[in-house]
Amino acid sequence: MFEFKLPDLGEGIHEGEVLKWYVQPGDLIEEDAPLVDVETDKAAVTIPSPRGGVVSMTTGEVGDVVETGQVICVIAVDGEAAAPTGRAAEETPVGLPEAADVPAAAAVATAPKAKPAAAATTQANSAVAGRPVPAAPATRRLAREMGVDIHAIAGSGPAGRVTPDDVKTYAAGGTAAVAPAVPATIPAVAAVGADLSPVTKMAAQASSVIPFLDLEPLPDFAPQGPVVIEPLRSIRRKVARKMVTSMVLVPHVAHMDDADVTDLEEFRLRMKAKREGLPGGKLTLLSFVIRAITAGLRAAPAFNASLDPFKEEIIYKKYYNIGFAADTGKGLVVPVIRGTDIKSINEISQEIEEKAALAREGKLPIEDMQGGTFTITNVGPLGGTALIPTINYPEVAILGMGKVQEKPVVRDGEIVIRKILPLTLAFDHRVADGADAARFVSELVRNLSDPSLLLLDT
Amino acid sequence: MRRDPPSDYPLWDEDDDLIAAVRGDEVMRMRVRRWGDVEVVIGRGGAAEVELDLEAVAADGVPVRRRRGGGCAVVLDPGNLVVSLVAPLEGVGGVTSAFSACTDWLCRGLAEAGVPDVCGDGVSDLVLADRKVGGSCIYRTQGLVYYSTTLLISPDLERIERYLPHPPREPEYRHGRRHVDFMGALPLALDADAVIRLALLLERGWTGW
Repeated sequence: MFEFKLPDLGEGIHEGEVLKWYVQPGDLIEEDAPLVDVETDKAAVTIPSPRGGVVSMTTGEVGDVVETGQVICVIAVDGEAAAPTGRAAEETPVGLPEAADVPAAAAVATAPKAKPAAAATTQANSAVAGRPVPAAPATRRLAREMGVDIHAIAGSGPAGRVTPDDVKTYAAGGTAAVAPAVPATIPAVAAVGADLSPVTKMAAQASSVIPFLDLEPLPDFAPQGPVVIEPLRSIRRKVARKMVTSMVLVPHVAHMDDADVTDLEEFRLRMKAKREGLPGGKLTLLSFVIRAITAGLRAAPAFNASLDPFKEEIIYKKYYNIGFAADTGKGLVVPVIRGTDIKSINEISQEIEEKAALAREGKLPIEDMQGGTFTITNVGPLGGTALIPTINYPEVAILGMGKVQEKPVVRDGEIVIRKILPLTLAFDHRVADGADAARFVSELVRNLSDPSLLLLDT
Repeated sequence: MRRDPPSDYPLWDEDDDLIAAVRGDEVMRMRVRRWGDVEVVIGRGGAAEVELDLEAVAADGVPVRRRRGGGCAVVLDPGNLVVSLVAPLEGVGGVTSAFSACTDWLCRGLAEAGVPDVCGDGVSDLVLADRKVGGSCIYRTQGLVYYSTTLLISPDLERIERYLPHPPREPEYRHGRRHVDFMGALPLALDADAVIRLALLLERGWTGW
């Protein structure tokens, strides 16, 4: 008797709902014929019978949930008498080890270390004649039509899979197909076929084009202690892609300086008190910084540009759309304020309030997160003395704002207490040089230190 | 003992030709089509009486069919693009990886088509700015995967709201939102040129499993 257990249908899928049985106890079933349909979240799977024989028992009616590894069917093979319905599982020995039940199921879930050599494959197939050989239904049909025993063929496909060419070669000359032996390394396997998971293939490709980059699958952390595994989804996944693209593609340089915002803060708080309750009345420091940055970008167009690595061109943008990184609780988003060169500080402040609120509610329209030319990230309210931000690719630069703190500084030979804003400009060294950044940040510091300069520029 | 699922609705078999072709030669096939009519499609094991307002659907004379893949009911209308892919894959496992590979493939294709910010969420949703802009399902059988996704370009959300009660299960990111607050639209054109361009980009972008 052969006990068939519900195979592993995919990582994280532990059960499925029975949709349809193609057989009933007592029916004769051929190997590979449809046995049962099972549904998991969003996927319906027709599971074929791994063995031919007489169905002795099935477990689970339509609508029942069955678990991975649970015996769902017992088949009497090769002339065995079918056990009485419903009792086979308890009274008959197990037919094959569980691992052999679905040999191909791991083709995507886990990448094999290496394709087996021809000799090893031949031996394996011969030793387990009667066990399902990895081959597509069309290939099996071909073998039957050509009168060839598929178990005798060494598969040259992924994981020893028998291909139609293997069948034809065997039938023509009686010689098993020869699979090339390759070293057990990821890049080598990637070079010969598609028998890899997407992740492993990606790692292999990256490793093969970046010298010294050694991307290996992570170890199993579970033996070290309890772990919780979550898939990378939604905003987190998008942020990951953006950040990796930026850090891999763009040679980052960071230039740091401090702005004395004592006078600006005094002015801002005075205006804020006057405008309390009005639209844009929060009048945050960020709105002044956006105004100052815009003035700086007009004078230093390299920081309001993009570099096209394929065309080897720098695109200077004559419009000023400043994004600001917002922590929404569900992840990082970057609302964009458009046309900051033609908006007043009050208008900018109002737009920051509106867009930040929409972002927190998850209702910010996509167009309000696109088209930025420069980004500011302000971690000041959360603390920290300084930061080195990652450029929001394909922009060229990003400004990081730290926390405004009162600090002792020397002015005219005297130690005085001033409000200091730490600033970091991270920029693309392909487009601008350190001297450009120093001039840009110095001008920014000057503007933020003297609010009248900002107002004059409005 | 009931041995079969309800056969109350005809099969949505628009891609059976692709499945048959891939069974024959094990070469990937894909198709992008703009849907022409209004139609409701329920999942392989879906319960129409739970997932649909059958009175509203019947009142409009809208047909209901059952697809090969799983998942909850969807409303197809001329504001949708249906992307189908059938590709050989050994065995019957790897469903999760297949969803992931197909989602990545579509996101890359959409990025090349000018919509760079689509990402996957839930089991297999395509999401843009926290709005669902595509729903997907898989039919897996020995040796192949049939993946089908509905891209929302200019969906009739009001109709969806009328036909589909709140689904019996929902992804975490939905947060109980109504269809009109949960579903969005991809900023893509629906004319023939745009559909062909997307199909070419997707075909070029398929790198296998």
